[in-house]
This record gives sequence, structure tokens and C-alpha cells, in this order.
Amino acid sequence: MSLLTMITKMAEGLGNTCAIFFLTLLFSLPLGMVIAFLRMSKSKIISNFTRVIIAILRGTPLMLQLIAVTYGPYYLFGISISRNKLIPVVIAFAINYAAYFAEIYRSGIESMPVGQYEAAEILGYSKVQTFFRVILPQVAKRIMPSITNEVVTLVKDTSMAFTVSYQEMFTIGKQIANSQTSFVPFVVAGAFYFIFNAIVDYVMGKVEKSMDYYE
Amino acid sequence: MKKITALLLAAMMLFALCACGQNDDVAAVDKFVIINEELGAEQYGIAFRADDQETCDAIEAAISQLVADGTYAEIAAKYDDIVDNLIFLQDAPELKEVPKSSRTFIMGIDPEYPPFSYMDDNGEYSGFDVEICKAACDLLGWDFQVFGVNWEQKLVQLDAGECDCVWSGMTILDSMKEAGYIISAPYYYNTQVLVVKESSGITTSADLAGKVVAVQLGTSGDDLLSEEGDLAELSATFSEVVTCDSFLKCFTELEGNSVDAVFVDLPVASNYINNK
Repeated sequence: MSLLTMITKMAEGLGNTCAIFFLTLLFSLPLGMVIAFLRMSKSKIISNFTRVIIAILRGTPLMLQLIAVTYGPYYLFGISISRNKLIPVVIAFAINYAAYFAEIYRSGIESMPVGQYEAAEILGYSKVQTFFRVILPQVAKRIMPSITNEVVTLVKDTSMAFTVSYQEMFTIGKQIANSQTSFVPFVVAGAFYFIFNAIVDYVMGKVEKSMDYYE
Repeated sequence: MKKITALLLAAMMLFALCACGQNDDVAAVDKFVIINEELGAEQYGIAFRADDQETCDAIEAAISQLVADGTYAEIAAKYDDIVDNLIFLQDAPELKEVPKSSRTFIMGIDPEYPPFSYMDDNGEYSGFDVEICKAACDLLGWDFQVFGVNWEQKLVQLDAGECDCVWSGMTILDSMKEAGYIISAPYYYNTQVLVVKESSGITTSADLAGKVVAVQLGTSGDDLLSEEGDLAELSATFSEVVTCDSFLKCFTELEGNSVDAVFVDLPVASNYINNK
């Protein structure tokens, strides 16, 4: 197989890799916010329950969660598995990443000094206004580097979708490697991930820069 | 900044050149040989879901037709490494009438298992099993599709309906029959062999006492060497059995001297050695 065919084949799979990446971010970023609020809830029951959920999601391998989400419903309830593997894959990724994002959001929100809430109250801000006008803009700025960290990890984690036979770039690379008894596809995969992450890095850098309004 | 870049580039070049040098050295001494000992005799078959006798019968009928009209031998002739051990070429199955119907048939393969199923030079799924299945589907009037399974979970994926059969150099195991899967008549005699480096001087399995052996996870070789397997006694003489997730990694471990032998299906071994 020529290098060009190899790269073309793997580039085709890159579309599926991107699908996991963007859909996961689309769902996990807001879901993380919801989980963060539940975690910070004043009700002990809700907060502890969320804590357990986060512990499970962070404490078990993503690979197992992928298998559980894909095959679990079939074995437990006899629901047939979706022909479109993207659905279970994105669900598993989104839930897993939401747990991490939730903790990042919480770290940001809880780092805000009480004085800011008090000042906002004196100025007549409602609770919702305080959060969206005062707290959130500062939180976003503080947590950006941690978010970038997770996003970069997500790019590489997409390779795990091979466990459930989803045809993303790395799955195809593995197939070519074994069919052609060559390690070149792994080098190509490495290059693809690196370029992907270079772009992510650039974009996130721009976003961070745009929040530098105090400097 | 420029200086640093230049330095980095120079370092990379040096590294690249070093790598080339090493490769040449290794290639000179490296030659893999198969130890002439048949360690596990077994047969390949096709697995279908427990309630799917109908599909199994249809595929078997189509294969009997392919054998009778010579298509089977024609396809087999393209695969030198396996042609001698194909059961139907020595002992043709009883000719059955091919039922025509229209449906989609999804063939479950391990896309990393040459020469039975793999990705060819054009990036299409090919191999002996794939070609036979395609020809059988043509006869039956079925729409043919290929699905790459994750070998460790092939039966889960079959159960779940992601594919309609597992047909990919699959060893028939008693455990599959006990679990209720419908298994076709065997079509290939397989043996498990040990592959070693010629320079190692190892010529029998007894020479491997105290050595490290690599095997692919989820293969019948993996079963044979396990504690309850038929070759548990032999396995106990090894210092360690290492499992890799693909046979390519097993062979690479051997090449890099981290293991002393690879335990693998004979056709895969000869295919690897011939194409290396």
C-alpha cells in the first residue's frame, strides 16, 4: 500500500474522529455546568449523589464506559444496538468529559471571593444577574487553561472508540498496520493527532487572549 | 530562536540517521523461522447466532455450489499460504440447492487478520474469507456488507446484531458450541506454531523452557496456553506468556528481543514471514 493511499484512508477516518470531538464538546461543556451546580447544591442529598456519580465517571476507565454504554442497554434490557455507533460513542464521551468539566467549573466558581457576591448584592444585583454578569466572566477566564488541557486530551482519547468498532482514524490505522505489517500508520496517526492538537492549541490561545481585557 | 530551531533540527536528523543504521544491522541477522512442531490442531468455522440456523444453512449451500463450480478453488489459488489446508478442496461438501432470497448480510471480520481478512493495497477489505463470502452472497442474491469487529468482543457483537456471522479465520471452540452458537461445518485445518528467530538456535518447543512467549489476546493460541488450556504443561515451562493485542505487536516484540517466541496460527505466521 502506498503512503498516499494510507494517508487518504486514514484521513477519511479523521472525519469520524472530528465528529466525536466536536459533538462531545457540544454536549459535555453545558452538561458539565449542570453537574457542577448539582454538585454545589445546598441539598446534601443532591450534592452527595452527584459526588458519587462524578467519582464513578472519573474513577473507571473511559474504555469500560464506552463498552457499558454501547452494549449495556442490549444486555440489560434487550434494546438493539444502534447501527450508527456515533450515538453511543458520543454519549459515553460526553458524560465522561462532563464529569471532568464539572469539577473544573466548580474550582473556578468556588475560587471567587465572597466579597464579590456581597458587593453585587449591595448594588442590587439579583442572584442570576450576579452569576452571569459578575462571576461567570471571571470564572471563564480563570478556568480556560484547565479546559484547554481537557480538550487536548479529548483529541487523543477519541482513539479509544476503536473498542466498539467505530471506524475512526486510529481504528483504520490499526487495520492498515496489521494488514500491511507496517508501523508507518502509527506514525501517520501521531502526525494527525499532533496537527489536530496544534490547531486546538492555536484556537484556545486566541480565546484566552480575547479574555485578557484587564491587562 | 533560530539557533534553537537549527539545533533541534540537527538533533532530529541525527536521530533519524541513527535509526536507519540500526535498522540495517537488525535486518541482516533477523530471520524468523517456524518451529516444525504442530502444537494445537484445530479447525476454522463460521459462527452464527443461536437462532439463525437458516442463515447457516443458506451459506453452507452456497459454499457447496461454489466448490462444485470451481469458484472456490479459483479464489483459493490466490492464497498460497492456506490453499493446502482447505478442507473443501480435499473433501467437497454435499451439493445443496441454493435458496434465493433478498436481504442484507453483514459479514463480521477481524480486519487485521491476513490472509483471511485484511485491508488490501487499495484500502478495501479483502482476503480469502471475504472473497468467499462475497461470492456466496452473490449466489444467494444477498446484499453483501463487511463489518470490522473487535476480536475480543466478537461474540458480543454478533449477539447484538452488529453483524450476522463471525467469519474470519475463527477457530471453532467447544465453548462456542456450549454457549449455543451455530457453527458451520469446518473449512480449514489449522495448527498453532511457534515462531522464533533463526539466530536464537531454538529448534523445538522444549528449547523454550524458561523463555518468554508472546501470543495474541483472544486467539485460540491464547486459550491453549492458559492454565486450563490443552498446552498448559508446555506453557508452564515458559518463564512468561505475554499477550499482545495484535499479532503485528507480537512479532515486533520478537524482533526487538523482548520475547523469545511467538505462538500464532500457521497461516498468519507464514503470511507474515513471506511478506516481511
